[in-house]
Parts: sequence; structure tokens; C-alpha cells
Amino acid sequence: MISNRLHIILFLILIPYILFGSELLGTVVEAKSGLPLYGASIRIENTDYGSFTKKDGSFTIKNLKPGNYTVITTYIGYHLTTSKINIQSENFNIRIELTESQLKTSEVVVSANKKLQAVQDVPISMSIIESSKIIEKGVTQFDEVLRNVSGIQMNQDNISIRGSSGFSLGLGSRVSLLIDGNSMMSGDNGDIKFDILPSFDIERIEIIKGSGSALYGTGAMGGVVNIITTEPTEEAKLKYRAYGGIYTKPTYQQWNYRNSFATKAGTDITYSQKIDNFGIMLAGGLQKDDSYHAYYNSHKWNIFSKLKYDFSDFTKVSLLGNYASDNTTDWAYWNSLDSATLPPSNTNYDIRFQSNKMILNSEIKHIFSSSFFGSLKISLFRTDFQNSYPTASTFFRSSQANSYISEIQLNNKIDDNTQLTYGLSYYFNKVSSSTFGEHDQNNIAGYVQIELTQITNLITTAGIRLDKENTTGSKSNMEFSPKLGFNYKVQEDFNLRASVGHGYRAPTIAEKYASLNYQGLKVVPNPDLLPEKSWSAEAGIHYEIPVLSKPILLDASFFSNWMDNLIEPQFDLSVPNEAPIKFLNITSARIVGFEIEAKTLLFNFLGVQSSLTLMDPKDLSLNQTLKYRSKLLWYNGIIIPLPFAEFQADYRYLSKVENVDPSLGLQIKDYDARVPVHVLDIRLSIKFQDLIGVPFNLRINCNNILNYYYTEVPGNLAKTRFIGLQLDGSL
Amino acid sequence: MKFFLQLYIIFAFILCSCNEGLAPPPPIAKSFINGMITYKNGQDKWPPIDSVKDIRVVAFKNYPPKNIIAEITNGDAFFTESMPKFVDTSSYSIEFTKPPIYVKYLVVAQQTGSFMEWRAIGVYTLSGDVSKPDSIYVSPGKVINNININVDFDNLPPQPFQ
Repeated sequence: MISNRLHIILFLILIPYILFGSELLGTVVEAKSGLPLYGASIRIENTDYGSFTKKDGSFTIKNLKPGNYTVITTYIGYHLTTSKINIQSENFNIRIELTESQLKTSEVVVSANKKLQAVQDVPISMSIIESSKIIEKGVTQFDEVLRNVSGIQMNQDNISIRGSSGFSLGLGSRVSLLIDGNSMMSGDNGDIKFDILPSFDIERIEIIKGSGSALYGTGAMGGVVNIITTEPTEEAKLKYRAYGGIYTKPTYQQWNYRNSFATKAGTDITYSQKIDNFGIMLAGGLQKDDSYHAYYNSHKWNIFSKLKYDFSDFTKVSLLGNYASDNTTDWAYWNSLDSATLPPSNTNYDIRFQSNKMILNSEIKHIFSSSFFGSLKISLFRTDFQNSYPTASTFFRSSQANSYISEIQLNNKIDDNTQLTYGLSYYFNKVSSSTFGEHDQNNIAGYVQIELTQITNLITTAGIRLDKENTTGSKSNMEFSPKLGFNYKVQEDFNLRASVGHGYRAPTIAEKYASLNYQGLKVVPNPDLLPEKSWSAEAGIHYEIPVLSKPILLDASFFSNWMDNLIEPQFDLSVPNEAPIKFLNITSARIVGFEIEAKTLLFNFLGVQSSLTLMDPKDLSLNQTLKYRSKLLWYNGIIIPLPFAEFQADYRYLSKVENVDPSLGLQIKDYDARVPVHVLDIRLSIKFQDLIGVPFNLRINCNNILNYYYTEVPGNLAKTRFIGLQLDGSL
Repeated sequence: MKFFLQLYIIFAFILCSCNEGLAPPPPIAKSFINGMITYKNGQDKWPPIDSVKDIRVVAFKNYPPKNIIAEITNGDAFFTESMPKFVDTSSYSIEFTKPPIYVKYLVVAQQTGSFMEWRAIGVYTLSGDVSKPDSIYVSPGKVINNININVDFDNLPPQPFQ
């Protein structure tokens, strides 16, 4: 049976599917000067066809069937251009002129509707972070890059998009993390492993704000973060980076726990090349971090590879492999605010955690015709960790989780105004843990989405996904997740959008089956946990307003989320004479808010960006503010170009978290010590390419230069001032 | 010159804004209640060993308190370290980190089973009537001595804990 299925798949993919279509030939030039643009991206909308321009600005896209197409052209620093073309039986020639826009970067996304489209055409709020921003900020840990994204609040390792998540010790993330479209949530905890993400090899990050369950299923009820990794380069390229720096000493003598400076240092290297139809990228990195706490140090290394092979213009295969290992201490929270850089006094400093993670992603893309294409993805994500207590000790913790994920997706252009996207996905989590036991979890899902453009300038998107989740030893869950979205183009660079969607998150194995005794507290399993559910809605505007002949790029939205059955660890007082800690469905919540983001160029050189998110996160069950949420997020950034250099500064303000869980007081001294957040990061990049023609950059960066002391989660001082140097370049 | 002035203003602003936010708490004038617990009829009247998991003296802001753990997590109760068990007498000391505090109910509490299972076995009362607990005002920096509590396992006070 399986063999027959394999034959069918192989037949579909590998048997040559010969099309004798037309060619689209063209050149991309700068509008003002007419000079060719090298490396511009050309994509045929709603298809998998695409190309990049050569040094002379030319490009070719082969085997297009006769019909009407929309060509999307993007290039960093230029306006996105769409061109409607009608291809007959002969080849089609096109000249595309791009006009400069210092406000815009790449404006094409793939995450919103599982297909490539211009960002202003999507019906939901999105943020995009380009690789250049990641490199310029000297980001060495992935979570650092998200801290200044509008609407995002990081609670240590929890990503909260527009108030979706609080603090749950990393368990059960309500934001789904993808690498190249593949889900990368751990099979046991359902959390995000930030240290596996290749921060040096990211092309861009796409962030969907609002429920994405209609396409991405469980875990996407608060949003989606999709990391697009870089592609192998046409010419051989060696990219390198070395960095190091110090955490400055604490201001208060009580917090000074060492005589020397705590340091952080590391290096990354990437080799990339494409030979004919074969592309390869190999990367590796090392990092040692003393941190700004006693007993919080880590040693990490990772290797990353990406192989691509084009069997033909129609069939392309890619394989991504990643392995990361880290050895860290077992820091959980401080001793007290008076000794905030020390762990509790009974901590055994010899205990460490060893954690290993592995990703293997494979993908086959096949173009059946110019109106029908698809992809098959098969992935393995393995996580394992254990502490260094003897296995017989009651404090010993270990867990191994293998997640096997597969998805087949098809895109079908029914006619010029109707686009269908549909697919099936399946994942299987196998967990073996000293804390959670031996459990399996599987989820099978089917989804379909239709995009209609019959009405001029209006894009309507409707979709539904059906998920069936089953965990051994508990009831299975079935969930329908519909969505509906509209995007109306009023005029060029002026779009209105509205959307509503359902989200859900199946409880993780850790939440259902955690079982341990810890310092007199008993945690017991709860196989009866129900999935969390949500509805999110938003209405927004994307507008480039000319003010005094200067354009201001504006994006604003009203949003509202209703969440039900939220899972939190609680003392279960319904159990007589015991009151153990249990994960329970206890909270219903409603979050309404407004977000506005603007960027512009002042005085023809000063890049300015600012975003403001105002929220009212309400716990409807307790009639109080939801725990661990700030009501106001205000993020700002400036870029000042200098001769041979660039100065950047980012400032973020988050209002004081109003509410935390008082039961934490049983474990954590001064658990309620919290203040508003004021953090200023600055950096100066010296570009030696411009100065002496040598392709490397030197960066001096100072994170939290004000050395502002605050907490993101109870009992944990957030990162203090760090001053570092970074050298990067390519050969 | 103007550029350097601007630079100076920026750095002055940065320097003035440094090291704000959280800070170690300033030394506070802690307050204490000290006293003696006397177990009537001595060691012979103690309950079976497996029902005495822990003994602590607990001071409550509210009376009657409903649940020891809830009162502690809400910051409305203060407690001692574990007290000696199966003794005739023992001395205790409760530290109050955020005085002033009006203690409405001061008890010796016994943990009989799990983490949530507690009962009152002795109450601070001047009249000797264990159903009428007396209050104590604890002012900052004050050490209040001789707050003695009697425990009679044959005549336990009314149980406020649910």
C-alpha cells in the first residue's frame, strides 16, 4: 500500500512533465538613471515561478503557459512594482523600471497565505525583518531581534504578540515558530528553542499578528513567526563574524558577584555556493556566555547546512539540516531582589543542563503547470535534555522528543481571479521523559483557502482548516479554524484591510502529563485538559502619506482577541486534603487594542521608525488585567548615515506589568518586583568597504546603555548593560 | 561647535538616565514578635507522629483567615521557621518585613497532612478564651516580647481554615 503511494508521488514528481510554454524575458532598471539593477527579485504572483536579475539587469522565466499574469518585482530600497502581462504563444519581453524609496525594504511575504504576495495585499497585520537589519544590529541570539518589533512583548523566552501570551515557564507557546514554513515547536513542551535558530543565516523574518490557525493549526492562535533562511549564493562566498564583549559591573554592591568582568564571545562562519543546478550552504557557530548572573553561564555550538538541487525548471529539492548543542546552568530565579544576581541559597552550583536539538527538513517543489504547483515537506525535529543529577535522584530531569512532520500543499489558479490553496499535514510527537512519561501525540489536518479578485482592487480570502489531535491516554480533539479576510486597494500605496480568524492550541504533552514532587509541591497530570481557543479580528490601514513632500509610511490597526480555556498552572483546591499543582483550563480573556507604526526619512538622511501599541488585556474569569501583560508598548529606532559608518539607536518602553501570579510568592522572594521598561540600545557600524575597499565591518554596540534594571518575568533581572565589538565580512 | 554641543547634551542625558529601575531594597527597620509556646500536659498529649508534619506560628492580618496558603501568597500572613515537635515548650520569633502591621490573629498551626492541610492548635489570647483571639499592633522597628501562646490538644480553638 505504502509502496504504491510512493510510486504515485515519485511519478508525479520525477517523471518529466514537459511543457512547451513561452518565455518571459526582461530587464529591471532604475527609473531615473536607466542603470540595470543586479539581484532584483521577480516573481509571478500566485505561482512558484520566479527569478533574479543578472549583472546586466536581465532575467528569464521559462515555460509559462499563455495567460494573464501579475509580475511582482522587488529590490531593497525601491518601490515594489507590479506589472500585468498577457502571454500569448510567443515569448514576452518586458522592461521594468523601479523608483527609489528609502523607506521600503523587501515587501514580499510568503507566510500570510502560504504563497508569495505583496505585503500590502495581505488582509492581516504583518511585520518583516530583513537580514540586513539583523546583521546591522549585531544580533547573536534570535530573541534579541524580536524585542523591538511592534506589538511584540518578550517575556524571557515567551513571544507574546499583542498580548497573546503571558509567562508559562516556556511551556505551550501561543505563537508558532516556523523555519522556511516548517513548524519547529518542541514535541514535549511545545516551546521555542531559540538557540537552534541560525541568526547569521536568516534572509528575513515574517511575523503574522493574529490567529494563523486556519493555515498553521495548533500553536498559531496568537500569531506566527516564520524564519526564512538564506539561499545558496550564485558565486562562492565565505561569510564570517566574530564578536565579544563585557557585561558592565552592577551598580549595587549587593549584586556584584565576581571580581572580573563577565564576558560573552562567539564566532560564526558560513560558506555558500551554487554550481549549475546544485547549491550548498554550510555554517557553524560557537558561543560562550558568562551572563550577568552567577550560575547562568552557557557554552553553545551549532552547525547548519542547506542543500538545494534543481532537477529541472519544474522540480526543485531542498534539504536543511541543523544541529545545536548547549551546556547551561539550571538557573530558575533569583535568591531575592537584594541578591538579584544570585540563585536561591540552596542551589547546587555543580548541576548543569545538557540540551541537544536537531532539525532535518526536506522539501520538494514541483510545478505541474503555470497554474498548478505544489510542494511536499517532510521534517524531523528532535530535542533532548537532561540535568547532571544522578538518574536515581528525585531531582533528575530528562526528556527526549521526536517530532515527525509532513505536509503536502497544492496551489491551483482556477482562473485569473480565483486562486486555491489546499493541503494536508500530519505530525507525530514521540516523547520519552522522566517528568512527562512516555507519550505520543499526533495531529492530522486538512486545509483549503480561496482567494478571489473578481472585484477590482478587492482581494477576498476565505479559508478553513480541520485538525484532529490525539494524545495517548486522553480524549482526542477536533477543531475547525475558519478565517475570512479582505484587502481593498484605494490607490497606490493606500490599502485597507480587515480580517477575522479562529485560533486554537492543543495542550502539550508537558501540560497534560507533568508529574513531579519539588520542594514539598506536588505537580500532577491532567489528561483532561482541553484545547485553548480564540477568535481574533482586526481592521487596518497601510498608507504612504506625503507630508511636506516627505513620504511617511503608516500602518495602523484596531484589533481584538477573545480567548477561552486558557491553560495555566494552578493549585487545584478541588482535590481534598492535597491541593496539588495542576495545569487547568481556567481563564477566558479579551484583548482589545490599537497599534500604529510609522517610518520616514527626515532631512534626507535621518531614518526614523516608531510604533505604539495600546492594549486592554482583560481576564474575564477574574475580572482583572491579564497577568504578565504591559498595556503600552512604544518602540522607536533611528538610523543616521555617516561617512563610512552608520549610527543606530533603538529605544523601547513597556508600561509596568499590572498583574502577576501571587502564588509565585510561595517560591520566589520579591516575585512582584517590577517596573516599567526603558531600554536604549546604540551601535556604530564602520564600513571598511567604503573606507579602504576591504569587505568587512566593525561594530561597536552597547545594549541597555542606560543600564536600566528591570524584570521580564518574576524573579529574573533582565539583561543589564553589555558593551561589545563585532567584526563581520565576506570573501 | 554646534555638533559637539549636541553630542554633549546627548551624553549628559544618557549619563543622567543611567542605573534607574529596580534596586536592592533599602534596609528597613524590621519588627519582631517573640514569645513562648507552652504545650499543656507536655509531650504526652501530642498527636500521633504521622499527623504532625510541621509546626509553625503564623500571624494573620485578617480574621478569620480562610486558607493559610492563600493568605501567605496574598502577603496577608507571616510565619516562623518550623518549630520543634514533641516538646513541652519552645520559643518563637516572627519577622515582619513590611511594618506597620495590625495582626488580628496569631496562632500555632499544625500541618496534619499534605501541603494544604493545616489546623490551628493554639491562639494568642489575653483572656484565655481561645474563641476570642487578641490583636497586636506591630510598629516599624519594634520588638514585641512575651507574646505567649498555650496549646491544649484536648481543647483546640475554633478552626478557621477551610
